[in-house]
Amino acid sequence: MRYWVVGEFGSGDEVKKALRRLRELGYAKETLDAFSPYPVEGLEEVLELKPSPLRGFAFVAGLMGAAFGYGVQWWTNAVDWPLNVGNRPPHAGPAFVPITFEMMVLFAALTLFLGLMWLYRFPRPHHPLFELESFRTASTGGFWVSVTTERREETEPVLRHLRGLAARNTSVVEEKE
Amino acid sequence: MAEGRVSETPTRDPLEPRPLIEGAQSPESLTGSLLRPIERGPGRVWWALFFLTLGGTGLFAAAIAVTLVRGIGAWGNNIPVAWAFGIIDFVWWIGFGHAGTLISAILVLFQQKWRASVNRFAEAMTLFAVMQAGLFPMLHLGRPWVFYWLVPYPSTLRVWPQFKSALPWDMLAITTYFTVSLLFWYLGLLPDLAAARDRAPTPRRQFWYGLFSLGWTGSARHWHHWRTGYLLLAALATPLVLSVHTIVSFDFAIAQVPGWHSTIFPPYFVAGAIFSGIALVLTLLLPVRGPLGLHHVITDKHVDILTKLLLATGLMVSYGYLQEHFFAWYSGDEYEMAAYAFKRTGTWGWLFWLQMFTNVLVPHLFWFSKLRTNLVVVWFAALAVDIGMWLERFTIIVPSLAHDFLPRSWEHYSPTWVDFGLLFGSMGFFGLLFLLFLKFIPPVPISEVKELHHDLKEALEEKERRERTESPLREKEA
Amino acid sequence: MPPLTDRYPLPVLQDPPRTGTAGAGERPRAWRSLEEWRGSPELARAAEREFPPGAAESLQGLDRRRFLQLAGTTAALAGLAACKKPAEKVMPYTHQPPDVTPGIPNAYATAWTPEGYAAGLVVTSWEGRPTKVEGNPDHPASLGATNHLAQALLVDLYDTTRVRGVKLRGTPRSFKTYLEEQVERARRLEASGGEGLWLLLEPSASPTRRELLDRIRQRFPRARVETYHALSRDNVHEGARLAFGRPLETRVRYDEARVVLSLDADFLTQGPFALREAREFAHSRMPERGAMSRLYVAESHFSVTGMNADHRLRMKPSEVERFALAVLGELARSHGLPGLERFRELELGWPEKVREVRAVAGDLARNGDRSVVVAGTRQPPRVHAVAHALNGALGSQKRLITLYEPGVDAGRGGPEVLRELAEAASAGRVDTLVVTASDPVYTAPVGVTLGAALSAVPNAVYLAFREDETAKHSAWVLPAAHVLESWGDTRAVDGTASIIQPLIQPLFQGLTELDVLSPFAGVADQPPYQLVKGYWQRRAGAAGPAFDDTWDQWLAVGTIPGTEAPGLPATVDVGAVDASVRAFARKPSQGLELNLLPGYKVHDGRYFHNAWLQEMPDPLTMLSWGNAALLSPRTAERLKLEPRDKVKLTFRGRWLEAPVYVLPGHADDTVSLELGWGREWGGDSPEPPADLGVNAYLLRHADAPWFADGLQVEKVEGHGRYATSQDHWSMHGREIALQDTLDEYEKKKPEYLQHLKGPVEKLYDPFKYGEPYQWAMAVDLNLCIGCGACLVACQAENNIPVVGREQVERGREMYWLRVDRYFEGSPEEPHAIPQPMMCQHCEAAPCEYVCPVNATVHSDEGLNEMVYNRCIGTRYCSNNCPYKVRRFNYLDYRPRVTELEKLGFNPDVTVRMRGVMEKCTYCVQRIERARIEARKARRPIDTEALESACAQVCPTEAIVFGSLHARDSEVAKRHRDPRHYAVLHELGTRPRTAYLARIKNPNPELEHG
Repeated sequence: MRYWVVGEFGSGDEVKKALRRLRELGYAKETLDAFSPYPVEGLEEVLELKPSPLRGFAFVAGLMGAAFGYGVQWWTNAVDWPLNVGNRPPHAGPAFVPITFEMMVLFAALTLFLGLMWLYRFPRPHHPLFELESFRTASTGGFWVSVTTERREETEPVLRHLRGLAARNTSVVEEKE
Repeated sequence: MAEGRVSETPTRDPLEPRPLIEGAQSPESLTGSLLRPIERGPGRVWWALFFLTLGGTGLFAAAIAVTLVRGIGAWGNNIPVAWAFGIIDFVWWIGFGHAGTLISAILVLFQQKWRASVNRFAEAMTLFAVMQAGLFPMLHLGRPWVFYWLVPYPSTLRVWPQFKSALPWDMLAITTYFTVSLLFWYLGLLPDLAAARDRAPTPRRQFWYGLFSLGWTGSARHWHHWRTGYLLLAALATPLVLSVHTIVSFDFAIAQVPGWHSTIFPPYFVAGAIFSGIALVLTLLLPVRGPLGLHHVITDKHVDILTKLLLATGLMVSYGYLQEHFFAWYSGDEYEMAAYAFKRTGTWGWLFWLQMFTNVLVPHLFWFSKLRTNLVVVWFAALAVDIGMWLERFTIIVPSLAHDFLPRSWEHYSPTWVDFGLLFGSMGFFGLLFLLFLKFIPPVPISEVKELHHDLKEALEEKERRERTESPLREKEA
Repeated sequence: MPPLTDRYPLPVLQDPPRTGTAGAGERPRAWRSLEEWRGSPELARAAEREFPPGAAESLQGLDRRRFLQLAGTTAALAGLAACKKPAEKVMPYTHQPPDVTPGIPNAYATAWTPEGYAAGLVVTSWEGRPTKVEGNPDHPASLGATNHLAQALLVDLYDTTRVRGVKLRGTPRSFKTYLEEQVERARRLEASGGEGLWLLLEPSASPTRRELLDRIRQRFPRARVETYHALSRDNVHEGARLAFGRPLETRVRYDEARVVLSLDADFLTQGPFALREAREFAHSRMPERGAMSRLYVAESHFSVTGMNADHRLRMKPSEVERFALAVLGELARSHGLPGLERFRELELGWPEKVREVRAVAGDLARNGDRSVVVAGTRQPPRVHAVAHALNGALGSQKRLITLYEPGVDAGRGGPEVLRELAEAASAGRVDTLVVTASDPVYTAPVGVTLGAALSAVPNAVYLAFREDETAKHSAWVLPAAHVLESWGDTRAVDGTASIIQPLIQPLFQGLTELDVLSPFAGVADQPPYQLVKGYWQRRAGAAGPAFDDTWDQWLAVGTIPGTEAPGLPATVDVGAVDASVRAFARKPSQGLELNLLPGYKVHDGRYFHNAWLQEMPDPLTMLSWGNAALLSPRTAERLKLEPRDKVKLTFRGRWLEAPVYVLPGHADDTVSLELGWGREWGGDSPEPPADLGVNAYLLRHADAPWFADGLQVEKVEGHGRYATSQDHWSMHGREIALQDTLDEYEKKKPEYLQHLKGPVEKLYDPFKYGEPYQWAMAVDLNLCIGCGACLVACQAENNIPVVGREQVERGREMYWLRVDRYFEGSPEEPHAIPQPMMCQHCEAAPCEYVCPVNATVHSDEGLNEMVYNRCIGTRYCSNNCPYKVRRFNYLDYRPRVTELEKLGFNPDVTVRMRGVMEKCTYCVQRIERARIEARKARRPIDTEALESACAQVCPTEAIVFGSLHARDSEVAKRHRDPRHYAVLHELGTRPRTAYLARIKNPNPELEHG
């Protein structure tokens, strides 16, 4: 049983203001979130989000891709069955560069995408907030703040705070387990 | 770049830089206007074009069928001209494929905000162009049904591909390029699909857009990872886009055919690719802008920038041409000199000079800002470049092969209807995909435009504040 | 399971027509799949057809396969007869005792008779199916070589469009009926002494036939027995008659000669001894041996011999005679040759040629009895007589020339005969006519309406190979047996006799000439085998088993020892020559001359249906699938004609239209046209029946069989069509096919051509090639005469498909070995240089590193290997091959091959599918076979005996193949020769094929800029 207390604001700055206030009021940052049609500068600081791990993923994947690319070429052409091809050396480093590079990019790119999916736990076509008709603006023009809580009685104070911060369309969404 | 402004009045001071977004806009209004193309049903023109391109696709299918049933012999190729239309079309399409990633990836890295409203377009174009390009190398094989022998997989033949050849490089470069472009495009699309989902008029549309938006909520955490991922992909795509046409140019450069065997090829191919890509963006952008009602986000400013880019890349390409012929002469190699002389004065000399006109002279129109904003001029110029770039590939491939070392092997080459069927057919198929794209996918990245709009507003307010504080001083001087 | 011999039958000696109809005999397993076809109606129809339906459709048509199945199976049905167990055995060449092991080909010695004289053959046969024709090294007229025509014999053998079965006015009859009727006729004719009996025969040196004819002459004293050949050697015989008082054949020892003057004589490719004379001529062109003869050729068109001349003296065909007399006069006057006194005042007043005449005469005189003058068959008898007179005076007749009794009947065998026959026939004076000559109706000259005349003959019998024009007008049409199906005998010019033995039972119950003549000789009961064996038995005077052994020996060797005739002594009757010289009308010819040539590929038209020869590019014009009107550049300019224009050639009121081909070096004011073209196509070719060349016989007159003035040429609308496989004739100053003068070469030796040989800049260390075999080839351009036999031999050996005119026009011919031809010098007076070009097997092969799938790689014996079943057809290798010797299967060329033609395939060579690249393999199948044999015998490969197909066939040994590790092998020697060089050496491809520069030996007096 989980409750989403949400309210809509006019702009990204208002959202940031509201969130700071809520943090002062002592809400844990994990319980807080914001929804906007486009990225709002500075939200990361407010919510104290850690740098995304994607960088690491991509770097490692890239290296692996390159190694794999070069390895396959070297093993097939120079080790498993070396042939006299136009009197060129079977292990032709320069000729192996293009594929090595392409494999690096390919691996890194795929990892980035799948990494994102994993971080988002996507695909997840349905979200409790989608039950809320007014929340549709979150992707078009509206800026929303949400506070999640496990206990029903906590939703009331949160609502009050949000209203206090001049949030529109405040409401509580109940997430069924 | 944040030089735009939101002007209430249609008339504007010519000294003022042109705006990136016209008219009074709000996030909602932008979303609405930008989703309208896919929300309202297809118009008469759309249907007309749809059936036209469908016919083209039919022609494509027919030509492909003939090629597969009868063999490459259905084409005009011969010995020595063993490569012709098939490869020309391939390079032509892959070249078009370059503007998309350039505009989106490279400009992202350079923080070029103006790209926002055209990048989706360019990327879609890239994808569809690469799809066409990908077909040709396969059709071009004598035995297309064993194309997968290019892939190193353990088989009973026990033979592996031969990686000193440029063709395996080619295949991997194209597949990688297509994959990465697709991911990049889709990632950028997620928020807009969400928007489309949330404004969907019918449950069916809502369901489909919901499915493809994968559950995007626009949460701060989503955006946080999204920005990192998008930026990194851009960082990867940038060297990739350069590598792809470099590798394509290797198909020719590593061979010793006079007229191919040249070190200038990689950079000059890349420049040519971007040149043609930008030309195609303009060719497609200008006509659809009006019908889709995108004048307010794709403004003369964009056209202005694109034409400048066209001019810049055009100059690079011209330099490439110059160098090619200079190298041939400077090398003193009789075969090289003969090959290039044949390009200029031989059987297909007229095509060469036509190409010189379209690719070297035409871009120089855009030194003049008047012409840069004269949409008719721009459109025809872009079209000329599109054609010119096909001619360029022709004059690189066919005359060189037809005029190599032993005069005995010199042969004439004449294409068949199947060759033309494949060329125009692939255009039809491309057009078809593009029309469907316009109907089902937000043609302009909404979230980015909204972000841009927001930035512009802030910049404007900033500016006005400054003016207010400075005004008293001015009065004193007066 | 029947014994092997049933499934792999030996050639059959049993008398063909006395065997049942096709397929009646027991069939071997291989053909059982044909059962279903047997019943099908369309098959029955196809079997009825004269030639397969739809032969006209072009290959591009998609529905050919179906039809070809039909055509193929028809052929196969007919072919069933070939697969019967033999009744008697023949003797394999060198294999004792004879046996057939599946998978091991046998070779049989036999002979064929171009122009009536023998050329020895050795035919490879797989399980009773002939697959490859080679020359017989033991035969004096072959020395192991053949010409392009012999190489293509198999195509005719396996041609589905041949006549099948005896027909009387179109209705099938049995051979028995024919025999009975003819025997009856003969009896009736005997009464009248043979009045009204005509025999029109192919020229032949067959002793057995001569014996039959003698019998016939005895039996029918009043009968007319004539030989006819459209390209008859009458002039040769008449010339000899004029000079010596009797017809003689001349044979020249060119290897001894220092100066040769050819008066329009293409002696390197024409004539019954051409192969040997070409070899001997080549031996006189070896600077290493210090032997370097000088060849002058006076001719109008560009002949193969002209291509090899040190000085080509261009003149109208009619002026050759004038030139001969001029030389005669000059020699008599300025050099006072003994015996020529009476020609002293022979003065022709020919200012523009006087310089050349002086130079040639001087050269001839200087070299005395080592200089020889030869005249061509197209030149009138007087020219031959003059040549004989000159050789007599020079003394070369004693030193260089041997004269032989003609083996063929040296009567008038030309158009004259046809005129008389036509007159007699249309006057109803001919009751029975037996024609074994090749299609006289088609080759008949203008004004001889032989067709109509023939129809008037009640009992006209024609031994037809195809349903040609003559067959249409003859009452009886008998299927002719191919030479490889026949028993017979023949003689070479020098008298050497050979037995012609069949390699396969006649596929379509074909008959030999002897079969047809036997009823009239009263030996109708004897099949050719008995006739021939009987004749030689009588001649050997032996009998029984003793003779049988000798007989076997003869068959095995291919010649009959001790049959060479001695050279005849003869002296020139100068008086007679003088008389004819005085009779020469000295008026120079006016205006344009029409110049008719024997077809280089189609001969008199009999090989018109031979697809290999059709597609073979002409050595000079590179034309295939047709002929054209050849003009000199200057004449074309004067007449405002462009290549491929269509012109109307009007000669004595008759005209035809032909495409224009501008040939550098052609004589001015002369239009040359090859005979034998423009026939109706009935073959299994992708080409339409129409317009394969133009039929020049329509302009041929009995009194002007070869050339005459009075030709009108006018340009007409439209474009003529011809397919040529080489559009550019200049080398553009590139060092490709090199030629140099003897003096230059002598000066530059030994650092000759240093920049085109030796090590080159390279990035990687060369591959370490191991012992013991390093395959390589060497082509001596100085020996190569450009005849093109290698090209056809390669096609036969490697199952190379015929692609048809349409594809040749597109530039998709499939030849692994092509003979390039370059012209050097001015368009008026060029040198023509032939250059055989095949895969060079580069040690650093550019084709290999661009192949994405390792389909072409290098073997450690230096072969550039092509792996068909790995090839995916990117054609990248072809782009990167600077020699462009790789050929690509743009279409599926296999379905066009009929079941019957498949019998002729070389089982050792893969048949390539659509979409794969192919090229010269240095005949790797021969290498591997030799390797297997060597392993079995536990010895190294005999690299000297191993020959590629092109090297084996080459009449002049210009191409040699072998291993570089055998230091003293010919190929290794040539790779060290100062004249050797690598084509496109600067590319660093390091080819395994070396070329040796061509050396010319020009006369300083004639050296003009």
